[in-house]
Amino acid sequence: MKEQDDKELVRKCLRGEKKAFEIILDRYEKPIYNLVVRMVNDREDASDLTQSVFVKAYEKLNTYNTRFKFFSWLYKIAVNTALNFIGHRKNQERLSDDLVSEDTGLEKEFEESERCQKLEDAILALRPNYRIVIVLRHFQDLSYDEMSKILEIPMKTVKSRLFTARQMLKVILTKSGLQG
Amino acid sequence: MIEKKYFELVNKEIDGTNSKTESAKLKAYLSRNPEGRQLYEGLLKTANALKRVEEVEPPKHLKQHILNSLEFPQRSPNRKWSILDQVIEKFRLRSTPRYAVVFVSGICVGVLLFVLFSQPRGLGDQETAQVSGTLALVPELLYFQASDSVAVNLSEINGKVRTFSSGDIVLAEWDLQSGVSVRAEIRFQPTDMTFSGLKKLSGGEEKLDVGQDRIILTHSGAGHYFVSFASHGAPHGPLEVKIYAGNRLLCQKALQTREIDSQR
Repeated sequence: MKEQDDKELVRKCLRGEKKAFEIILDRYEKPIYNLVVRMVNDREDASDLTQSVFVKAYEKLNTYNTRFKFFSWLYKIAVNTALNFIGHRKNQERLSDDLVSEDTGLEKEFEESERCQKLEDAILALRPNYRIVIVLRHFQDLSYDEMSKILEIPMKTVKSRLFTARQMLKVILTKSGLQG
Repeated sequence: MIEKKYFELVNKEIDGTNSKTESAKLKAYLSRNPEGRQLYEGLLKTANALKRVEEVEPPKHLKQHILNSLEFPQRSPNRKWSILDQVIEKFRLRSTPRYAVVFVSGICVGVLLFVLFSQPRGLGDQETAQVSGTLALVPELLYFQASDSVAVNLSEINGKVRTFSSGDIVLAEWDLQSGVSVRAEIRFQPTDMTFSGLKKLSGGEEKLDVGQDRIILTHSGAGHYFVSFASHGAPHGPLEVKIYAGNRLLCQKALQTREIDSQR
């Protein structure tokens, strides 16, 4: 039903109805922003990138094929935008890697927020290709099939990448003391 | 050491997508494989830890920023959404018909270009004067209007005689299959037109006798000819065609030479 609504909204957008795009924004702004923020771990960057995702989506709306799910199409734009951004920011990623493995000092004082921060840092420590499968599976709750379509990789690769990503994450979390 | 096939089951168990049979199979495996159980429990803990990561609210201004950066087309709210608009929109939305339309359009354009550029140009007045006497006009039949025709279906002779016209030129096509010698007499009004040439497309030897108001064409067996006349200006009268086998008149008909439009 929602997917049908999405397609109807797209039609309305193509007719120039601004309101329809506002509804799309209401529906997907938060998930796309969360996807991007988990990928880039910077809220300001995530805000800019989310804006870029929706602008791209609007400009390319006439290339969207209704045989596919709208959200898959939109997520694909978001994933590519985030990965491109990360590609340009590689050096900073390395810095985050170091933070993950060495920051243990304030654990007791800010236990919960620290725990969350460590988790976020652990996710960030993963290489983008592994990070994205964790984000899509655990934060966006997407199926293997949906992930396969968005990432344009075989489902078998999705599964193996997800398994490896979880193992890597487990190692990082164990190292940082979050997991025994 | 964990068997590879159980990796996927561990994955699926964590994601809650294992069937009951698969879950039971994994459970049985893990109960006899401590290393596998340790891996599963570790990954499960990681997955549970990820659940603690809270959703982040996007900045309040973000939606407005996005809307401000988009250019929405100005559209009258009263504008009617026509059927044509809907069809166009469907093409925009669906790639398959869109590609099909592009493909078919491409073919149409290709055919059109081929027709335009593979045919000789239309004849100008000067060019007409140069070529009409030679009857090198057959490829240009596209530029002629068919005027009249007669089908000949006799025991000795089969085929057709047709007339065409285009501005200054009148053509008579002569296409007959015959086992005997054929004589054709074509009469015309000298005030209307003048004989200007004969073009043989196929056939044996022929004899042509040209008079002021008629031509007589004699040939043996099959023959395919174009006879051309220079028009003195429309309207002009018909061509009187008579077909003889030897001296015996087999067929007679007055074939119109006016363009179809002017006949209406």
